[in-house]
Amino acid sequence: MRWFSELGRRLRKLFHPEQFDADLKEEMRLHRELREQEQVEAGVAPEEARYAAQRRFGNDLVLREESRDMWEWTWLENILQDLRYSFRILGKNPSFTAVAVLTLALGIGANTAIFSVVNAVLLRPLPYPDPDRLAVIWVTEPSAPGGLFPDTAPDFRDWQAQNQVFEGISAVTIAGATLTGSSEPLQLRGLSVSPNTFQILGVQPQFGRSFSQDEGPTGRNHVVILSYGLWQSAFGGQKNIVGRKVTMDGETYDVVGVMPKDLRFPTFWGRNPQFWTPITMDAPKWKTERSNHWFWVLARMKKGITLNQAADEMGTISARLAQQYPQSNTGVIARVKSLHEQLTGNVSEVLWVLFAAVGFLLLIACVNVANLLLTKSVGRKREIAVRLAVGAGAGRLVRQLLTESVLLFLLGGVAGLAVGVGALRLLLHAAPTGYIPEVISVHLDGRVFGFTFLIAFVTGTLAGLIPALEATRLSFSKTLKESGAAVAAPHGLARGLLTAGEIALALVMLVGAGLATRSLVRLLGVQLGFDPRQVVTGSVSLPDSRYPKEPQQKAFFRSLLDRVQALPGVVSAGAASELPLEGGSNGPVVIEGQPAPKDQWSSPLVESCTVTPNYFRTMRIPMLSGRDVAENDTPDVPLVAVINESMARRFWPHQDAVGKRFRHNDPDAKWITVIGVVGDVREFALAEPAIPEAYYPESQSTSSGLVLVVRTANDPQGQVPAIRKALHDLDKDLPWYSVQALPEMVSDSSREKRFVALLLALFAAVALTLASVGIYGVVSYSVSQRTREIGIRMAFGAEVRTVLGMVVREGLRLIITGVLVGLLGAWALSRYLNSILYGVRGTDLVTYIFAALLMTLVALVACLVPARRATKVDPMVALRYE
Amino acid sequence: MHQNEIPSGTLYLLILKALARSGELHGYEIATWIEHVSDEVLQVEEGSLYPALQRMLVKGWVTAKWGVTSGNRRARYYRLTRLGRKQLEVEVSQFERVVAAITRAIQTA
Repeated sequence: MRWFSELGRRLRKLFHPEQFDADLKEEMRLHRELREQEQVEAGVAPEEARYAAQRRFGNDLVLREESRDMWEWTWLENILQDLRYSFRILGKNPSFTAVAVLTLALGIGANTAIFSVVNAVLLRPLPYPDPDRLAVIWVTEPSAPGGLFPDTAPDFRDWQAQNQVFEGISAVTIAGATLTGSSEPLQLRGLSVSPNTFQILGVQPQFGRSFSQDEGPTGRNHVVILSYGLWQSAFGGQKNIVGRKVTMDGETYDVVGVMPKDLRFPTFWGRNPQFWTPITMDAPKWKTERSNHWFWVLARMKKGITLNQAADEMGTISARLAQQYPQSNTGVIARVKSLHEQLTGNVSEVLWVLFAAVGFLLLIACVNVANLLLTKSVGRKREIAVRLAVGAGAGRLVRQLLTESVLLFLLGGVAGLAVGVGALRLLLHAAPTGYIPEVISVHLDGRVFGFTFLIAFVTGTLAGLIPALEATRLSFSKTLKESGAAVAAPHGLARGLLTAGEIALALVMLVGAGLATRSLVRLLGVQLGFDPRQVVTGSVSLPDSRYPKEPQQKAFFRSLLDRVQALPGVVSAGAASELPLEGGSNGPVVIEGQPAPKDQWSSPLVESCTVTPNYFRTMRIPMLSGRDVAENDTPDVPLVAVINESMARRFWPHQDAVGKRFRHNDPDAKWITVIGVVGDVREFALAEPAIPEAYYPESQSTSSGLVLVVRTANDPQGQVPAIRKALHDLDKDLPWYSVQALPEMVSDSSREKRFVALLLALFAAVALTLASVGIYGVVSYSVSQRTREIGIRMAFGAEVRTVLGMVVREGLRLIITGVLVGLLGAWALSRYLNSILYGVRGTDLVTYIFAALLMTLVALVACLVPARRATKVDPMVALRYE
Repeated sequence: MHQNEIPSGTLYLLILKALARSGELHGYEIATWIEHVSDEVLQVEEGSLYPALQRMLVKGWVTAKWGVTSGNRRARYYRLTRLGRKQLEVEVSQFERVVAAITRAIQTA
């Protein structure tokens, strides 16, 4: 505190130098005049009196100078002096400085880039007012333990009526629509939301208004709010858009508002909605059904309510509902999650892993630079000894050496910031879409700058401390008397420990990268169950307004498939309600001849998908037994289904499933006969094994929307215009949307893992390089220090092999120590890697052995180079060396 | 009367003491106080008061404020801080130790 107030006074003086001088002059003049006056009063002649006063006072110019000096910043002066000296030293060793700054720029830059993401995703609040009060509510289902599901309409209404903890809760569900009226029909991504959704988020439309309370559950719902992007692209940004009518799915909607450009709507409900309509929850299937889980729930907690309180309240309500509706709500418990966790939970674990990896990288870079500094300080032994001898305080000397290393690291920090900015740009560019939640913008802010310079400063101090302390341990007489080589021992130890440490760190990173890579290989080697090559897919949705009847829809799809099938270059075409890897919907089933479950929720769940004939053939999903669905599987004949292998094995193990029957768990559901068994496909993600699934013929189901699947002879993308034309020939107002080649979709689904594995491999490669440079430096230094000894040995007839062995043995000791410690470290840290692993255990022996061998090999090569140099020592030169 | 330079290092002590006794003083008053109480034995090289006062300002032993003298002139008045009062004690006890030691040395001879 005392120091602090002194700083304040000094600063005041520093900023008002003229005032300071004027004050001094004035009080000194007063002094002289008072003295003069006293002399005059005592009877001295006025002239005499003035001289006397001046004499007694002294030289006021000198005195003012002295007064100013009292305020001098000696410590600052010292620092400036140290800095000047440090700059000179660094400038005198440009190659040393360049290597050190470059090493640090890599280490610090990687940290800056990853920290920018950590800062944006994990540390900064979400871009909404009072974001801590935003939450999402899911429900659990006893039939799918561990899973979290959207809510049902009746439950949502009960929550709304009964809770005391939320300022508001709103329901959101996906609503795609086809926009017509302009030139091309456009398929839009949209959301149906409760009217209060925007209010809960705290966002306002840029033009027009939000939804009003009566637009929603039961009232007027043909109003729409457009996203800024849609307003620009489809309506040319016309200012008079609000109040206009647009046609979506053949129905007329009033545009009531346009959302601002920078609106960031929570992304876990599908990316970038282009429009919002008010939700209608009175559709018959939603009104009373307590098992139709359709609604995501967004909530804003009341001020002062914690997440735990909200969770408790929702738990109580869930228990009450379970008592009231045991049939549907037993075991259905509402789970409250903060919106932040919802949006960042997936990525946070991976981010911490990456952050740890770059942290290790920085440590390795630090150790390298510390080693360089050590080498240099040994070279400067004499200089330091002389400075100590002529009376430089040890403290002052340590400060000088520390200033040097901190300066070096700060230079590294500046370079690192530049590297980091570039790396961050690359990182964001390479990151899979949506991997970093879109509500979050990643950019550099004060915290990132602060972090960069803080790590530069702290690591600089740490790295400088060892050489500085070592250097001042030198005793004057010993150093000046002895030759350089003999005093190397204490440095040797510090240096050895540092090097073994960096080998250990690099090995941990190699193991991490190895595990990630092996996971990726496993993932890419997964049997998809279908053949994506040459297949292009895209969706078609028939609006209810123009295709209200089932036969119309079926007829449309049939003629569309016929036309596509007939296109030159098309091998076969089919359609399905869902594609593999994209998930789907499921429902409980009852198996004929097996005991019926006591309630709906304990019956087994089976994925369902609607397919046309030829779908399996087009996807090359193997038909294991029985037959494909056919056109003549009409609603008039008994219901049929093709099931996958998992379903056959689960319900009819060791039997032929064909001919067996099952039905949906619904009192009036009809029996469905299994007509065929197909191979399993990956339904949800590459990493998720197949689960029981049933495929129902499109001819016996209702589907107003299907995904077209077209196998082409050679060029899937080239067929797109022809397919689109076939569609438009049938109906010019229907878009073919979400068009993509199937191989791309498959590769997209592993993009996340590839990205992480790539980053870890990159970091590990840098770490391996740095660690090798480190051990190379240590061994070549030791060789240079032992030139004379080696020379003598060779003069006495030591063989090349012996000398080589001697040098390599020394390096090998460090390598083995480092590798052992690294293996232990990797093993201890491996459990934190679970989030990035697939099909490989964190303790996978092969990876460990391979990483250890690679590390040892590279480090040995790094030793061999200086060792070979040692054998070339000419004994005569060596002996003349000193 | 023979006048003596004040012993080196005791200027702070004397200034602190002057301010402790009289509260607020300007530079000239401090100089005359020192001469006066020492029966004119101790004479300050008057100008050197000012660097000393600046040092004391830096250290936070005294504070300074512009005021008006009885003769209606603007003058900078100095006043002890709590820190200054503590420093006075330190300097007094230090001085007494030195004097006692010197005295012992002289008497032994």
